[in-house]
Amino acid sequence: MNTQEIINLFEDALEIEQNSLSESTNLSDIPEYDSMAKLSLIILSDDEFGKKLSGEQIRDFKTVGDIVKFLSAD
Amino acid sequence: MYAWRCDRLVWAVDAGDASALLDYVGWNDQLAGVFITHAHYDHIMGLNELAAAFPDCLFYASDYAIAGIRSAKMNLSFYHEMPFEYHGNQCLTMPAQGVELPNGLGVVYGLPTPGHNEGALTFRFHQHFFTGDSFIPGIPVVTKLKSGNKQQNVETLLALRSSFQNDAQIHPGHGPQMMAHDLRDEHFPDLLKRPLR
Repeated sequence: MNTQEIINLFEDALEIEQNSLSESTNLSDIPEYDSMAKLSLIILSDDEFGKKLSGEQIRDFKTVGDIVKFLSAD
Repeated sequence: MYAWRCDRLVWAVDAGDASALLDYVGWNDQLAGVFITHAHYDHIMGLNELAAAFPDCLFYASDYAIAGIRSAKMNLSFYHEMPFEYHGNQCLTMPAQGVELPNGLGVVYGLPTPGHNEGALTFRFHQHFFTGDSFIPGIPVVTKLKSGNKQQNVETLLALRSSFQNDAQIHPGHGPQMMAHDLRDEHFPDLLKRPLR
């Protein structure tokens, strides 16, 4: 899965328009990135990538790119 | 969670907290049925305890919710690191014609209200509407989680709004209860571009 596809999945999880985010978007600038969206990200990570995501890891994410890097890492 | 008692039989809507319901059920009473609005963990976590205490009690839910009751991933408890599943045989698909309570009490109907969660039901008993998380007055409905659907949510809210008569009482899954005649546009934030008729 390429970077744009991962970003699109993240946009789906947040229920925001496709292609509205980029790797450099700060998570703090996304109003939809609330506690429910974080739970949705945890589910996405587990279901689509088979990766367990902890609250601590989520707190370390600053940009959309950080999430992409985590999800796409081997 | 809500419960009511009649002739030593107790009926409840949702079962997130077994201890509160067990406290409500008197020593000589029977828990006869629990109506499950949807299978998110905070609405079902008490089922194992209730099933053990009342082996004849039936848990009424949609087929999707029954699958969720049996899957920690579907009911989201897995992601909260407190996996919960119930695998007993007391779950029953909510009948389309409703469930008739004994002694002429009336019928509990299950109205499909997807949006927050597929298979979500609002239960209507006379003019009492138990909406679960499909409608919480004043709070936008969460549709970001598994099987949530924004469009279905709008359709559900429109359908609910038109089915509430003035004397209806709304019992949401969280927050205060309300009378339908007190509902205003702002209680349906997801419909704000669609004013009340």
